Amino acid sequence: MEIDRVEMLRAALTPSLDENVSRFKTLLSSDTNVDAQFRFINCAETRLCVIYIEGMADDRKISDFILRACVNLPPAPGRRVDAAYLMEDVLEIAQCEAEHRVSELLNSVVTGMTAVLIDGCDEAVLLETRGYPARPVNRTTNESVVIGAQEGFVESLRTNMTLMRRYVPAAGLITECITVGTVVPTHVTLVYLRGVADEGVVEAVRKRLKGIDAKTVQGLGAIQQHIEDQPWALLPQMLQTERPDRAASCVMDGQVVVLADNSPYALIGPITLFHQLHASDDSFSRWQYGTFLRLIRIIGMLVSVFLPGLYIALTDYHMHLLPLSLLGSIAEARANVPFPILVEIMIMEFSFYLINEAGTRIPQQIGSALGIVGALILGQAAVSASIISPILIIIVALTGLGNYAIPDYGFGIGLVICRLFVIACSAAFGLYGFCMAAFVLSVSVCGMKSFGFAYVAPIAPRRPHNPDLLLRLPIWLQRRPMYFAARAHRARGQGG
Amino acid sequence: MRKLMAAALIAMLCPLLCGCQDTGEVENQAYVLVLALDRSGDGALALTARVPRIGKGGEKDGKGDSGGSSYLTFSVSAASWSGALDELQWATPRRINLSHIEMIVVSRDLAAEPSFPALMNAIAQTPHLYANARFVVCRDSARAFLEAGDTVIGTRLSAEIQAMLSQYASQGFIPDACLADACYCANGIYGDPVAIWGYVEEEVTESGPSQRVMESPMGQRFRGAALFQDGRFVKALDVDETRLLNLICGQTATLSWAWRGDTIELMPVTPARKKVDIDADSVTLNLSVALRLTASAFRGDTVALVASVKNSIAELTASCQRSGCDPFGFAESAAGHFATVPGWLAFGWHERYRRARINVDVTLSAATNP
Amino acid sequence: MKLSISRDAALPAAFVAAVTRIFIDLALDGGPVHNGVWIAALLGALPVLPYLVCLDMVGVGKCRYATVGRLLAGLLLAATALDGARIVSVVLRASGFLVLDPVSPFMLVLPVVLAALWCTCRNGDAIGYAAMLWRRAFPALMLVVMILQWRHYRPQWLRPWLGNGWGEIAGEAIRTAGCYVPATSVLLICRHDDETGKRPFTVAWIALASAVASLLLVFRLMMTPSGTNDMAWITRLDALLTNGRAPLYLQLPMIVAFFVGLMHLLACECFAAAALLQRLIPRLNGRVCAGIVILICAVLPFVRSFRSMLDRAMPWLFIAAALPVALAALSQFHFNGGKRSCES
Repeated sequence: MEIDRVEMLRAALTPSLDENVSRFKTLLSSDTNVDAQFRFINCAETRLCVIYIEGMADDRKISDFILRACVNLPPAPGRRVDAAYLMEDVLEIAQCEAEHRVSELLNSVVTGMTAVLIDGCDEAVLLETRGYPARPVNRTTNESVVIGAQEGFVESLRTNMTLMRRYVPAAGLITECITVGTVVPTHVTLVYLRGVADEGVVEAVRKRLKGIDAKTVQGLGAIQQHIEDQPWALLPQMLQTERPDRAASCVMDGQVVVLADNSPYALIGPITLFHQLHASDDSFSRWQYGTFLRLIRIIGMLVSVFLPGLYIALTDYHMHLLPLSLLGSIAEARANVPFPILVEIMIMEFSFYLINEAGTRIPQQIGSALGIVGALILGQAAVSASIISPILIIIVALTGLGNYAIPDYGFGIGLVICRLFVIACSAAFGLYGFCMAAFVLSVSVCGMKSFGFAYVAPIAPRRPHNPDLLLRLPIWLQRRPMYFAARAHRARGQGG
Repeated sequence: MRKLMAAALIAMLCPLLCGCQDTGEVENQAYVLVLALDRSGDGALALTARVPRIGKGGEKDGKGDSGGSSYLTFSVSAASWSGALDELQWATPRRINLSHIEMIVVSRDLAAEPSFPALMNAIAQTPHLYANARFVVCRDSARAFLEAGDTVIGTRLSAEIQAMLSQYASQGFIPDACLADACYCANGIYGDPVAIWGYVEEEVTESGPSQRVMESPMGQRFRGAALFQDGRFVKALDVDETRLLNLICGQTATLSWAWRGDTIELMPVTPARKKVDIDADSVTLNLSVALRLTASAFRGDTVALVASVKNSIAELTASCQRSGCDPFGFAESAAGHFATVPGWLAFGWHERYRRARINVDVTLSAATNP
Repeated sequence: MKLSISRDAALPAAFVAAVTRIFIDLALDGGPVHNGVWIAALLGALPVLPYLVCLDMVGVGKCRYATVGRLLAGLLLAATALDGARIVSVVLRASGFLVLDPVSPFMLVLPVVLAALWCTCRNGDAIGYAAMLWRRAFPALMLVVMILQWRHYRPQWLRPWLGNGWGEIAGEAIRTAGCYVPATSVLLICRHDDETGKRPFTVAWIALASAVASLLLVFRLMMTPSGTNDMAWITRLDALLTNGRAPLYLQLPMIVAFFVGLMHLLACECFAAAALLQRLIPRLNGRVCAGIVILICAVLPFVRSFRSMLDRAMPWLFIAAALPVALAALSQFHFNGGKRSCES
């Protein structure tokens, strides 16, 4: 039975309408699938069958522009009703094409398109009638900005492509469609600017996407895991953004954007470490504000990764590096705490992650209760019960805040794992371990690549770049194209 | 995956295998704030340490929860420095931590012993005693000096010592001397070390050579400088001499000068200039001090004032020459005449310094009116 | 896995390694610190340039079929691995003193060895680019230290300028030149991705490395005066990290700079030695080469009298390496009419 289905999929249409319809009924399991619709009509004395999925296709479009157009059509003397005739003279839908492959027809129908099979013709007409319910373009939820565009990507690939077109209204913008997934296909679109994006990079992304050998691919998160350079690395080598303006800015820098159906965000590559630290606000604000905010973010990142480890190293091994007044305060605060500092900090870190995770999952209506519980557990009660010292609350709170300042969610989680590594090394070997952890992390990050480009470039290795890395200097100084843009484009840019 | 698991296992084993490592929680240590060294009657080295109590008010206030002092004093004696430290570790029910010593006090008798340079080196080379402590030589028993000290204005003894000694040093009452400097100078090829001179005042009222009268709740007095030669204590300077010493060494911003029953504030215009002329058989030390009056209201005899300062400086330098100690830094200037250290050492600075001629030049300019 | 490093990455790796090696050797490992060491650090760079030109002429590390080149690569491999072991020994002593006194030395060595193995297996570019980052971070760190310590530096302690005289300076200069031998091994094996006709080692590179090392030594000398008594290694380390007058918390950036610098040095030398080993025995996997080299570096510090042996050998390292290289270069020039071995 399964073999029959495969054979049917591989086959092409035949001139017999009944045979074709029967094939589609089998493939769509019409006896059990109530939403698979097969509507027979007569058009100029030729039988047609309109196939669509109820709910996925727009009923109004089908009845107004397909059924009405066909049913009222008088026979045309000397003209056979075939796909070309229907497309040219009958059907009133702009986007349509002739297709003879069963697999293509089937894959299109399940996404909301409508197939019109014609008796006596071995080609069908495929019409764009997608009209399933979709979330309208809305404000971004995770990448909010104070100043700047507020629109975010949505689940509909078509809408997302439209958004990209709106933000990059250039003839050179290419939206290249690829299907990934061998059993359940997912539509993916490669977006880049011809002449600006390096062809080698585009080809690499294309090749990796086409090379995905998975039965199903659930959205861009899965795609990212399939196409990244180093899937074992802690930090992501592609940027996820839900902001079309940011994706558009990357496209204009010569990067490649990947969009997928049902994924309300875009995947961008190649990237560097610094892309993970940039936010849209930086570009929208005046350069002084942008620079200041970026510095705050970088300090936040350093605090998030290194502060708890440094605290453990100093308090457990290097008391002499703390001023006596501070040391006295720490000792006084810890005098009644029963746990070693490492255990204390792990309790706090775990509590913090727990509240964080619970906060993500908890229904919005009872979210405020979580805040109260968190504040009570982490703040008042734990200190009163002498389980933790007050200074540790400050350390963990600063660490958490530093982590939240990082714009990219995945990058933030990667840094949390790095932080645990730093804590473990510092707890075992003091500053010696702390330095070792910092060194190992720096070498690991420097060894990473994103589509063949060094992750810490343009600083290491040094590449020509705009003054827009750690600092965001004035916009009029930023004339140079990114170093991973096409060579010709870079030459034009440098030439002024 | 197997490789990753193995790496993770090794990484996890590392801290476990190091279970015996040198970690110590902050509250489980006894931080020595002041260390006093004496020579006891039987010839042993007596060591007294003052540590804050932790968890009972500790250094937060002058008195602990139980109303007693927030500080504990431990005293031990042993034949050597290392033995005394060992004894101190036995005597203290916490792990001794020497990294935050604010002050090391040595009795004058001990500091004058021939074995003192070796003891000073042993102290400086003690692991984790980071030699950032102030170095005090006291007139009598160092232990009594330590016990006489307590918080007076501040709430923490450590902060009190820091603030008090910085203030005294900025006023010029004491030299800005720390143990590290003393050790470097004692072992170095240049001048001689200097320490803070201290004593315990039994009487509340004090009359000094400059007719000062003071009343203070403090038992400890930090007044003057202790001079060393070849690493051993040789003489003490009083407050006025110490002020001049600080003036010459460029360590004071003002000089309060008692003159004809009045106190005049003088300010060095530039750091004192020290120039050493070396001939075949003689050494001439040239010292130029440029001062400025801070108050324009002075109507006295400036020539006499200059002569007074000049004479005092000359007396001070002559007295130090007689003792053979060079706390002024002439040696550092003289060393610049030589290309190599062996050449400098062969020159025999100490002997030449004793016989050197000193020219003191003091200039005084009037205060600039705003 | 093939161990390789690009020229872009090799230059900063060798730079950081050379500066750290010179500084550690002259300020810590080489006995009493005399006033003339900063001059020695400058002079030590002079013989290094002809040495590197000779190496390039012989083609060490580039042509595995040239017998002379292989022999010299073996010589450099031995020098680099022994120096790596010496660095492990420095790490061992410093970490024992600063952090973990009662911990067994094996446990102190294990993490740094694992870190070096991990970094070597990440390949040369990762090590080089990390060194490039460190080259940017280090001046900022030192600037903070210097600003905070400014009032404690004493320029007059630099005099007498020549320390114990020209004889000692010359000896220390040769010693300094020896520091370049293991550090520059990485330059010999680098790839020339973008062949521009430039040599991977330039006069500017060596001049800058020696100038930076010399400057660091000047600041070190201004912290403590020349002494008549030799200080113990631990006391020298203590004097290096804090001058005893500045606040103790200033040790934090100093300790970070010290340990991270040492780790860069160790990673660079381990990588260079492993890559040279792979050039000698091309069938060996890069990870295996790294494992062998790092095992040697980890075990040697525990061999009795290793340290004293190396202390005696260190001043002669440059002569021991440069003499055969110079002879080989001369013979190449004589027999091949100036052609390099790979071209012949």
